[in-house]
Amino acid sequence: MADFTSQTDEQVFVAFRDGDAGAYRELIERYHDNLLRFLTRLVGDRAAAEDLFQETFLQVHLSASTFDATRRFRPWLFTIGANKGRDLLRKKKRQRTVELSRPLKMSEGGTAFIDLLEVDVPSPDAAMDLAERDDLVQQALDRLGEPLREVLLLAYFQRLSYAHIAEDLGIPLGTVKSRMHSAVAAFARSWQAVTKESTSRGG
Amino acid sequence: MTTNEPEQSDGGFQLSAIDARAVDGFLDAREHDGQVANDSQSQAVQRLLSLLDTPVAAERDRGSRIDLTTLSTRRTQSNPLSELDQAALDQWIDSGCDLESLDSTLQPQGQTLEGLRELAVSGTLSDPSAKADLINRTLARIQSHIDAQQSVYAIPTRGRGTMRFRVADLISVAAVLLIVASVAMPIFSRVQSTSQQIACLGNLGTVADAFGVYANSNRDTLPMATAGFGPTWMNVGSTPDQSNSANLYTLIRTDHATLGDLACPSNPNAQTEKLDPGAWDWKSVEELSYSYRIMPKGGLKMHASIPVRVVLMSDRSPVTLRAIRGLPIIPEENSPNHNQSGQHILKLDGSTQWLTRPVLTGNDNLWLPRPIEQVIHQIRNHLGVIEGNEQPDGPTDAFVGP
Repeated sequence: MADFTSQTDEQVFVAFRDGDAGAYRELIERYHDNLLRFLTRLVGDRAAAEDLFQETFLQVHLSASTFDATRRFRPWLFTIGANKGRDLLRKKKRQRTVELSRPLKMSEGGTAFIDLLEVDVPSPDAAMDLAERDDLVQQALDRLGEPLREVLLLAYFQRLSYAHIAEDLGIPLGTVKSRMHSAVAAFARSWQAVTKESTSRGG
Repeated sequence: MTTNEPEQSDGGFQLSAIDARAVDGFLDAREHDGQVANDSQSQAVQRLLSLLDTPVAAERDRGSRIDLTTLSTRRTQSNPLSELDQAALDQWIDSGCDLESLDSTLQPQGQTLEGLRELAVSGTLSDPSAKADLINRTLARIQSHIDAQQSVYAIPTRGRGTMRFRVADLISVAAVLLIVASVAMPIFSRVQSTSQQIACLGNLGTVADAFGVYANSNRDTLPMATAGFGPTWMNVGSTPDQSNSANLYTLIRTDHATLGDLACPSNPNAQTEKLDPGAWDWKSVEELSYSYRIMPKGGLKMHASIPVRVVLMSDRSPVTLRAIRGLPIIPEENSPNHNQSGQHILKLDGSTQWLTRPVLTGNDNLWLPRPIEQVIHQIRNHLGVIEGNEQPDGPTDAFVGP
């Protein structure tokens, strides 16, 4: 069995395309946690995310010959995942109402400014139980509109620059930037809201 | 803001310019695996966005998901099998998956099949119910795949050419089904009995709490439905003074536990729905899932002087079951609840334990009182002990020697 530990994702991918079944498994293992997180956060449905996970890697397998191995594997994988997720959401016609439009203190331009320094995020080792944290993150993301959620998750998990995202999504660079800023602001806001609600529920 | 119009669906929230720059800087650093800047805005961005790194619950099934993904990829490759592959598959299945018995020319194909099989058996999951669930889902997916294939296949075709192609296609799917089914089914039945065992253990935990609450509000006494027994305590379903299980049923009658809490999932006759609200006992011994300590006259108090290792309850006793049916008892038989592989016990201190033999420390048999244990011990000591000097007990006593 070949040892892939010192090889880049792209090298492992080439080995897989050359018929090394162990390399395919290696790729799945490398991206298991991240891809599953991304898909779960994107579609907000665990069972569906598990199916999408399998479909994404199946697509990687089927489209292997079309991948340009001089490019990076990571963004390609997440783009496939995002496409699958989008298809599913479209099929489910699942358009969540954006609860963020609840009346809030708006600044004069009709837009509320969020000060990130005021957002309370407990450190990962704080007392908050991991399952609870998982649940709150999902609730906060579910409140974001689909385009914002997708751009936020893609940027974070793909580790791509604005230019790359703009190219992938086929939208202008400025739009990506402003969407990303809105996404971060909206996420900060909804995180505040869900943690506040959860604290008041808990007494 | 740049020349582009702001998005409509921005949720009405914006970042200040300094926060926006911090977001840009953070993403840039991330793309190049660089360090996030040290200023407080950048740190705030990192804190907020690293929330997205929170693990999701499903990550626990890592091993089997990786296996299934690899497996399903192989399965969905829809290329019909080559003639060599088909021949290898037939021989392999005919020989009961024995690689050795394949023709030497088919060995490489056999290796692949063997690899596929190993793929299906490998992978570990700590939670047996999650594993059963995954296996079920996989089988269902494969089944639906086959159903889809069959709908194509069901179109009447007279020409053998078309037919052969579809059969080959079907075989490649069926082969995997076969492999998965042959490997997964034994795992599945084992998983099922393990999960029943776990559910049963969960019952005991719930009942332990119920005992505690009951004793607390009844001056430390354990559930008791009668002041004392008449001639027997084995008459399940009669009256409380003749049935020890009526004592345990007190927990249900007083709503400290539900009938479901006292139903072991591996007892097919166990009742989970309380049909008769005025009931005092289970209707018959078959419905019983657990055995309760025989209560002494006047009941038993949870008191400091009683050793905490006293067994309050256990999986149902095979010994009383046989006695009630008029059959000879087997003292060391395991409870019928878990395929006779052992039994759970619940002790006075609320702790539970799994015993593979119904014998506690000090050779105390769970199913029997000490006097009977001693008699059995004496009889066993006597078995095979004829010393050669014994005489018939008078002229009517038949007794023949060598």
